[in-house]
Amino acid sequence: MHQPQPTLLLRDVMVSHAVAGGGSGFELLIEHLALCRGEAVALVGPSGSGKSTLLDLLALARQPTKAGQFRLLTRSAEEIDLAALWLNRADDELTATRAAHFGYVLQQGGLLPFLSVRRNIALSQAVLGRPDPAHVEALAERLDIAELLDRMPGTLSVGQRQRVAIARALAHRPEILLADEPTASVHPALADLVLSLLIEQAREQDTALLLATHDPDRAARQGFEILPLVTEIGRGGGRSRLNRPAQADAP
Amino acid sequence: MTKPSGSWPLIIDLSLRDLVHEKTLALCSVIGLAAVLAPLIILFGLKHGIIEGLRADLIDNPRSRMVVNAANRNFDEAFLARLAARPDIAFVIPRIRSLNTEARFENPARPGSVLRAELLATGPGDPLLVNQPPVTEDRVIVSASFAARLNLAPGMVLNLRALRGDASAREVLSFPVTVAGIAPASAFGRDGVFVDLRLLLLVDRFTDGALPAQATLRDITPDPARIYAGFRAHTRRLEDVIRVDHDLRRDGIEVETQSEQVESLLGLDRSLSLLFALIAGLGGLGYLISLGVGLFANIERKRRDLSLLRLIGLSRRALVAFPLLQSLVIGLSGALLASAVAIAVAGFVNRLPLASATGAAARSVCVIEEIHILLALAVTLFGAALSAIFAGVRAGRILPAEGLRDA
Repeated sequence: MHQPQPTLLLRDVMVSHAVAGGGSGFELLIEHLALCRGEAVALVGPSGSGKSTLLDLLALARQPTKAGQFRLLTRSAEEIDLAALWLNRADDELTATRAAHFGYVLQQGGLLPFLSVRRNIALSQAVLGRPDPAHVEALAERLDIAELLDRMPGTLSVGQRQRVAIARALAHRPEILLADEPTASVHPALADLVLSLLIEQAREQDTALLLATHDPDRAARQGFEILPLVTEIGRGGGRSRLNRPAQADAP
Repeated sequence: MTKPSGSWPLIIDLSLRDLVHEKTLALCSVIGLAAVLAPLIILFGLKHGIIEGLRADLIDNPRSRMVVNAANRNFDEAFLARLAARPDIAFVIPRIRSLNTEARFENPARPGSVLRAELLATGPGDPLLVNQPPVTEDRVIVSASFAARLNLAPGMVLNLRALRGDASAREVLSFPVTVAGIAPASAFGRDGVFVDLRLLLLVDRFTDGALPAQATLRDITPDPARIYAGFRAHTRRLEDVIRVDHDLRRDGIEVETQSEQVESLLGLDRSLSLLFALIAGLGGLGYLISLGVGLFANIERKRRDLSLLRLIGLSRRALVAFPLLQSLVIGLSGALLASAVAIAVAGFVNRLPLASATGAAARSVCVIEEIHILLALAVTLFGAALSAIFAGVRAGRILPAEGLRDA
């Protein structure tokens, strides 16, 4: 069987929060994390377990304290050494990578209030200078928001906003889709729908999906693989470890 | 690798759409700016209008630059020539003993109506008679009050009559003159007639008994040894009065000038300029601070949107440009609105009755010139850019991670 190369690969990556005065700090250690396109992983763990830290790290919004291996392999077989970019503090390249290969769905959508739904969705394309109105229309059609394209975000319900956010996160065909508690502020009945749309669209667009959630049961029900973050409290403070090799390597 | 987007069309589009989306707030900022800037422009216009008007009034009034000796003395031609040669003196004309300057004038059209007037010598370039026809031997210029009293008009012929002796042996020198023009009221306040120096000398010498009643101007010959009782001089600039006054007094010549008034008016000019500069400076500083603080608050309010843009992949430069563009648009609109308001207010102020009080001519109290508007625009855009750069640097430091967290 063909072994897929992981899109995102991290080995021995550490993020530590130093606490002023030498009090108890926090450390997130990623021994091994591999994520492939088409996979849908739900990161679960209580508050303070490092979910946000991990998401920031994967979103290229937080510098790793130490990175053995941290790289992105694109569909066009371009390999980007993220560890090296961080080491060189190559802010422009990190920003460009974020723009080109990552999509984000935030807790309350994170839509820009001054842009119409259509322009919000097209924003991720506009930033790259690659407009694709047909793809915007197609996504809107699939997410059942085609009639809302010319409305302003302020006039939408929370559920509608989350659909727009999913469309925007996918509009530029990213490699990785990161979703941070996208169901936290929607009605439970709607939460299932948002998760199912997320997983369905991620698969359709051949994107790796990583979800941070408080609700592992719901995520499992929608077909997410559950990845728990376990925290040990030691002498120096808390430490969370993560070890998820590519599925093909798993014992 | 693709570069992060710093594409100007996208950033301009985003920042303008944001501005339009919050048009009420943007309008408030514009009005707020205009409310601070408009009074400053008006103040500038007032300073310009009042000071320049005051200065022009003083300069326009030739009597403020006049230097006249107080008592009858003896001045020779050499002294007058030295005085005339001073670089700060524009005009010098001799005067005769004041007892001999009185003459009677009769309007031949109305026999019997005789009025007395003072004779004053004049010559080419007399600052008291600017824009008047030249005075020749038989053409004179009459003062405004004298013209009103005798009902004179240019072109009329008068009989100049000088008398000597007592009632028992009275002799009369008669000389027909034509009214060439009427001097402005500011030139001489009493009844007077400006005549050629030779005509004045003829009257002087006849009154003294040196010439007979039949004497004519041919009897007045050039005489380098001639002595005059006084002089009337005019300085070039207003400021020169003070020095000429001082120099003549130092040489023991008592003079009458408006030196003190000139000095106090010049002092007032300096104080007013300083006062206006202080007010404008403080007001301008306050304006820039209010502009900067407003823009800064705007950035803080939009922090979340800006961090989202950063997360989606806009560069740090783009984030700095976002508030800068908005600031420039708001600053420009505010300055234009302020200019329009200031020009309208200036028009109103200039129609107030006080406008005519500052000068003889209907001079504007508030003068706003294009340069003031351009200055206001330049200061505003500079201030907007400066404060936006501070705000922008802060915006540039906004982390993409902030966009991930929901406030």
